[in-house]
Amino acid sequence: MTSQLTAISEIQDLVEAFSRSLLQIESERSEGGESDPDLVNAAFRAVHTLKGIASMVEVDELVVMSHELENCLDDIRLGKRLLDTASLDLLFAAVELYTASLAHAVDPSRPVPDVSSFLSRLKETGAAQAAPTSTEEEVSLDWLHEDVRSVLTEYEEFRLRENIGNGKGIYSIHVSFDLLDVDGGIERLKTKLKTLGEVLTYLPSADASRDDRIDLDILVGSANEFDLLRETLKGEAASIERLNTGGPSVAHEAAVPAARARESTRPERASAAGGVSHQSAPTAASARAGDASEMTAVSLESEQQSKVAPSPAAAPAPGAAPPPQSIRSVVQTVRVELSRLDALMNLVGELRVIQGDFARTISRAEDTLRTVPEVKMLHHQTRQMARRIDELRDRILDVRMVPVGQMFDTLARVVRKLSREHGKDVRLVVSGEQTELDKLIVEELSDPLMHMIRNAIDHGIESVDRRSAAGKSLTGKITLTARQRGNSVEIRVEDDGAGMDWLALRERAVLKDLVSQEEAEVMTASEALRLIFAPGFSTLDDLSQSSGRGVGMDVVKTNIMRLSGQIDVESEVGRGTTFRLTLPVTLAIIQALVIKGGDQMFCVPLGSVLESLMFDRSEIETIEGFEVISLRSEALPIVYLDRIFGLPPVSKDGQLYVIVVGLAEHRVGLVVDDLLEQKDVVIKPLGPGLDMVPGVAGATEIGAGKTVLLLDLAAIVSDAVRDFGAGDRRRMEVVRT
Amino acid sequence: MRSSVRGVIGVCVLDQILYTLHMPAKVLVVEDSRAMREYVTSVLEGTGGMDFDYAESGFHALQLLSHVSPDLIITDINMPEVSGLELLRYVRKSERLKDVPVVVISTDGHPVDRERAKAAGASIMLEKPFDPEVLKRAVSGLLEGPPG
Repeated sequence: MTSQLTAISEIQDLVEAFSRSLLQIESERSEGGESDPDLVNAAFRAVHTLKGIASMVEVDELVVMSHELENCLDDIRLGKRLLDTASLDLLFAAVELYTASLAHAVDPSRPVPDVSSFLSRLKETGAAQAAPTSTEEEVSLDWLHEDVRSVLTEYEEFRLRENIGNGKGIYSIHVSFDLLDVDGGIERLKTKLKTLGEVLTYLPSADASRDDRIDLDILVGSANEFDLLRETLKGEAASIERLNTGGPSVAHEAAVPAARARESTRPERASAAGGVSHQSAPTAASARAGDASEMTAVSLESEQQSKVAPSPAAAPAPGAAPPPQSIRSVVQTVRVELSRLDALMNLVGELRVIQGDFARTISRAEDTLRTVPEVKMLHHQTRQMARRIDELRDRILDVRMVPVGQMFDTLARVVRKLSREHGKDVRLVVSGEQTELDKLIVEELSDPLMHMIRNAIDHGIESVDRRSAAGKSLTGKITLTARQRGNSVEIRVEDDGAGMDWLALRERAVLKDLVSQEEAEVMTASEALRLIFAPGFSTLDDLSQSSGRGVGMDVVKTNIMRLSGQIDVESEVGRGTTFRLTLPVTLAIIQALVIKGGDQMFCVPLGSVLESLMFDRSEIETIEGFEVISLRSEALPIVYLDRIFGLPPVSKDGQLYVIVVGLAEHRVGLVVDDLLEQKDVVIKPLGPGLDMVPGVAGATEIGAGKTVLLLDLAAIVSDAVRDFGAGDRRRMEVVRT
Repeated sequence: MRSSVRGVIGVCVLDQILYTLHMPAKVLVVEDSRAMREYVTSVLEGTGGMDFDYAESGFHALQLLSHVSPDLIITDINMPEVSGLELLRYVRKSERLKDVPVVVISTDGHPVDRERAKAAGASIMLEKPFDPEVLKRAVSGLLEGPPG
C-alpha cells in the first residue's frame, strides 16, 4: 500500500495548488479581466487528483467532499455553472475545510470538520443559479478530423467549441522538438502561445521519422491575424495551419470548413520543419469556399508545398540535433523527512570535528617532523578534506531550503478571508517569494506572521469610511516582503493603516500595571512601541474575533525568539505600522561565537550578537539596583555570564568584554571574560534530563574533543529584561519548554 | 511472447533471446500524482517480474517512449497538456508501440472521456478507487498476452 504519509503530503500540495488557482482567479476578477479558463481547469485538476489519492488511502470525508467539489468545478469549467462571488467564496471555504480535514486525518484528536454543511451549501449555491444558456451545441466540429476529435477530452472539446463560438480562429501548429530540449522548448512555446490565445490541446504525432525528436500538433484558439501568429512563432521549428474559418481574417466566410489530413502531408511537413510554413488564410478560405466535402489532403498538400517560406531565424534543422542520450531522469523529486537531514547534518558536523582533530595532530607532527615531506602533504590533504566537508554541509543545508512563497500564499488566503469578515478592502502585496529559508523555520514562522497580518487587518487598516475621510486610498495595503541579508532573512510586514499612538500605548501599559507611572514618563517612542510585546498587553480588550484567539504579540515575540530571530516595530499614526523580522537562514547549523566566562567555554549564536565592546568597570552605572551601561545614550542592562551559572568569577582588572545580544526587540549586554573565535557549529540537543537546565539550549563539539554549551539567549535575555523591566530582583528562574 | 522480444529476434543469439525472455517486464506508469504512482507500484511489485518506469506527465511519457519500448503502459487520463487519451492515440499510431497494452485509469464521472479511451484502444479501463487484485489480474493477463 502506498504510504499514508506520501498521500497526505501530496494532498497538502494539491490543496495549496487549488488555493493558489483560486487566488489567481480572484485577482483576475478583481482586475476586471476575462478569467483564464486554464486557472479554473487547474483548480479542477487539483481537486480531481486529490480525490483519486484520497480514495486510494480511504480518507472518506476527503473523498466525499472532493467528489462534490469536483462536480461543481467540472460544471464551472464546462460552462454549466457560473463562477460567481458566492461560488468563489465556497471554494475558498473548501480550502479551509481541506486543511481541517487533513489535520484531522493526521491527528484524530483534532476536531472533525463539518463537511456536510459545506456540501449542502455547495448544492444550494448551485441550485440558486440560473443555468447559463449554452449555445455551444450548435457549433459543429465536423470539419475536424475524426482522429483528432475522438481523443479530445470532454473539456478540451468544450474549450474548442467555446473558442469557435466566440469567433476565434482555430490553428494547428506543428512543432518538432529535439528530445533533449522538449521541456525548455515547450515552456518557450507556451509562453509565446499564451500571448496569442488559448492552447486547446497538444497532440503528439506518432509518425515522426526520428526518435530523437518529438513532434506535436498544438491546437490554438486565437483572435489574432494569421500573420501575427506567424510572426510570433518566428524562430520556432513550427508550421501553422488554419483549421476553421471565422475569426478576424475571414470572418465573412463563416461556415466554410477546413479539413485536416496530417498523415498524407507528412513528407512536405518534414521538409518544412526548419522554417515557418505559411498558408495564407484568405486564399485558402476562398479556395475552399462552399466545397467542404472535397477539402482533401491533396489540396492541402499542394498549398503547403507552394507556400513554404524558410525563415532566416529558424531553429536548427533536425539533422543538426545532437545524438540521442538517455533521458531517464528528466524531472524527479524525492521527499525527505527533516529528521533524516538532521542525521546527515550531525554526521557532517562530527566529520568536521574529526577532521579538525586530524589537522591538529598533523600540525603537531609538523613541528617535530618538519623534514618529512609526507607530513607536509598530509597537511595539504586535510585542508582539501575540510573544504569538501564544508561543501557537503552547504549542500545538505541547501536541501532544507524552501522558498517562502508557499507560506505567502497561505497568508494571502488569510487576508482575503479576514478582510471579507471585517468588511474592509485590503490588498496583499508580496515580494521576494523566492527567498529561501530552512523548512523548519518556515513552518514555525507561519503562525506568527498570520497573527501579525490579523492584527494589521483588525487594528491597522481602517474602515473604508475612515480611510476616505483621511484622504487615503480606499483599498488598504499590506505588504509582505522577504529578502536575504547575508546569513539571515528579513521579513517585513507593513500596513498602511492607522498606525499606533505610542503615547496611548504608554497609558495603557500603566493602566494594566505593566509599568509604573514614573517609568512610563521617561519612555521613548520606540520603547513605548515595544510594550506591545509585553505579556498581557494585547489580549485584554481585543474583542474582535480574529485576534481574540488568545495569542498576542508576546506569543509572536516568543516564537520569533525561539527561532533565534529578532523583531522590531515602527509605527506612525496615520501612516501605518511596520514589523521587521530578522531570522537565521537555518537552525541546523549556526555561526557561533565561542566565549569564555568563569573559566568555562560557551558559545552563542553569532546572529544574535549585535556587537562586542570593551568597557571600563567604572562606566557601569546602577539604576534602581540594576547594572547598566550607557550605549549610544540608551541604558543597556548588563548580566554577568559567570553569575548566571554560579561560576567562580575570574579576577579582572578594569576592562570588561561585553557582547550586546539582541533577541526579538530586546537588547542586553552579556559580560564575558574573553572572546575566543567564530565557528560554524552543529547544535545537538542535550537529551533527556539535561534539557531542563536553565540558560542552556544545546551543546556542540568544537574540536579536540571539547564540548561546549550553547547559551539559551532567549531565556537569558528575557529573564534579564523582565527583572529590569519589572523592577523586581528575582533570581533567574527559567523554565524551558 | 512480449513485444520487446521481437525487437531482438533478428540478432539471433540464443543467449540473448533467453535472457530477454527472463527479463522482467517493463511497465511504464504515467501519472502526475506521486502517491498514485507509488500505489500502483506497491500493488504490482508483489507479483514480481516487473521493472517500473515512471512519467510525471504526458510529455515526460513521450520522452521516455521515444527510447523505451515498455511491455505495458498504465496511464491516467486527466493530465495537463498531453492527456492520457492523446498519449493513447500516439501509442496506437506508433509502428513500434502500437501493440503495447495500455491500462487506462480514471476516476468516476467523466463518462465521455472513458468512452473515448475505450474507442482509442485502451486495453483495460480501471476506475479509482480500484481493487488492487483487479489491477494485478489485469496486468498479468495483459503481459502474458494472447496465446501465440
